Amino acid sequence: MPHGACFHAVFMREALSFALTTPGSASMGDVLYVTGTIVFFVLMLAYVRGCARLGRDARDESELS
Amino acid sequence: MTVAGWVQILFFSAAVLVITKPLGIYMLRVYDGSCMWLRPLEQWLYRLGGVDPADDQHWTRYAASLLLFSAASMLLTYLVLRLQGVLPLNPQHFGGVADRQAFETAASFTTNTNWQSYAGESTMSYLSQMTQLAFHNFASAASGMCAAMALARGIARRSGGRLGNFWTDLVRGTLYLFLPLSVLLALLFVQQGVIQNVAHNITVTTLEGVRQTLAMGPVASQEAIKQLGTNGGGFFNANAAHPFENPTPLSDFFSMLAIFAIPAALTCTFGRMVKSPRHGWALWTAMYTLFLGGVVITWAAEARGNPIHASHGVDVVASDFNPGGNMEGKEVRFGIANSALYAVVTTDASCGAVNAMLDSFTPLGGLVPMVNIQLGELIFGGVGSGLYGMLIMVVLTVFIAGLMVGRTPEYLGKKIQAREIQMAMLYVLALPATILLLSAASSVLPAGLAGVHNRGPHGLSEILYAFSSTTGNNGSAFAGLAGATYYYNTAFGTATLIGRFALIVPVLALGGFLAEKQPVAQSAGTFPVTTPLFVILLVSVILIIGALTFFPALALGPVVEHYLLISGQIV
Repeated sequence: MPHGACFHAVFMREALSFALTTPGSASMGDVLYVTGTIVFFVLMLAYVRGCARLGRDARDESELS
Repeated sequence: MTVAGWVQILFFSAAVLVITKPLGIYMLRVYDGSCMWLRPLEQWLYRLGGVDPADDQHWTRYAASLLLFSAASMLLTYLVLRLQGVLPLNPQHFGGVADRQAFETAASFTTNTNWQSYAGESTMSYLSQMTQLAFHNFASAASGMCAAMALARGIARRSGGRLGNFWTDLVRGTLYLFLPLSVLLALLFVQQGVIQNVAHNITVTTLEGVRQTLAMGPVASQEAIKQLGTNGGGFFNANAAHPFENPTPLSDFFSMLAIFAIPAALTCTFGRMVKSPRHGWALWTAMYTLFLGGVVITWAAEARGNPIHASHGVDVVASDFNPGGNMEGKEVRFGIANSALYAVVTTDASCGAVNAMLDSFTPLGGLVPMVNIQLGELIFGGVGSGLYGMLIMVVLTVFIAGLMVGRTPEYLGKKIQAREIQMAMLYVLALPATILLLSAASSVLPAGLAGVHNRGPHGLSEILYAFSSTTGNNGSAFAGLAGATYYYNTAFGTATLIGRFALIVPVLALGGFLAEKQPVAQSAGTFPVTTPLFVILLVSVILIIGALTFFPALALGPVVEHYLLISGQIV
């Protein structure tokens, strides 16, 4: 692992550990809910691409027929 | 069923009819850019956001902009709710909102649902209410309008899949429509006695000598956009049944009119956009027919009352001194007819504000609000979402009519082909799939059953209503379900997100596909969409799709409960 990436990983682990163990600060729930929200919207963007592709395929089929 | 009740319903109907055309024409001017009385502010906002208002976005970019705006604003709200304990404007010194409730609330308000598993007056700081929840009341309503306008443009014009500019539509809807109307309505509410302050809560001694805390807050300003934007989240836990939120019959009337005003007027806006005002009125008529049917059934069920009460000698017949019927969970000052009317208005639209507790309605009285949501809240519906939900049904109706005569279906000069029907079906299937799957899971999982306060069919009705309300982005509750748990907060938050965005994407795709099509000239084989026959067919398609999808679940819930009630049994 490159030195910079190693430092980054350690920093993230320590920051996460601090956030999850300090009373009154972030919880594991925060991590899950924020990550889940981001994943949901990424999936929705993929859904947009999927619909666009479905539309192109259906148009090509109708033009062929 | 009383004369006063009929007068209320007819007066309300007349007010909705009267407001449709002028507001519809005004909205047309707002969204085509010819309304310019706040032009300097509008231009400044575009410069601030780096938006080129002339940029006509392809539907995929339009959808991505909507999704990114929603994601960013939802995450910001989550952060503020979690940190409200250390932020200003918190005179009650409330702590941060729990993570599960912050997620659910952020998702719920971003999606125009406003489902609340907390008491607003004892959980949210004024900062959270005024900067986050009120912001979403405006932004989520404006986003819904964006989607409707985009679909309407797709139908109305040929532009290679381009549907306008999301940021322009968002700014115009907020600046020219929601802000001015909500200021006007807030002033009307204040005049009627709705409170508006940022003071500490007041502790008073009641006539019985009991000490009671009266919650204060900026209620009128929240109340106005809550109704106009069909948001529904109450400042107080009792929502519009609270005297500080809805103090008079006139404030009650304005509330209901505000819920229906924009969705009704959108039919006129759409009719003029597609150069067929009569088609707009045909949509209005279909919506009104379904609305009136719902009101009459709910009112009749509530006015008839509970037969078990009657068998025990309780007088359930209306008279000058007794409202009769089922008054459980209703405000005496509003009565049965008004409570039924409010319940139907709020569930026809995606509002969710309530002035009576739906859990206390009779089984049939509670069935109608539930069905209204399950049909997709297209009976006038939410701001924007009502129109695009109805247009999806119109596409299906035209498709079915085309199949009947063996021609390629056309809608306003655009051919309806495989990909348009695929998008319509994605829309139609996503809602019931989410509602029914999550309801089924919650009916068997221990975490789901732990929140149910009633056994038997009423317990199932509570679960079914909750997932219908959250997925349908309504936000009203049967209120018999303990939703403040990790399981329900997470499930409801997720349901609101799916119910909003998994439906908006195919709507925008449909608009984009239609915008790519070359219009065809009308011929003798074109199914007319301005006639009574079209209205009848449209209403039938809506009811049949709803009945086929939800009847089995409804049969196990409110329908069984109704038959138990009339046979004198309580589970």
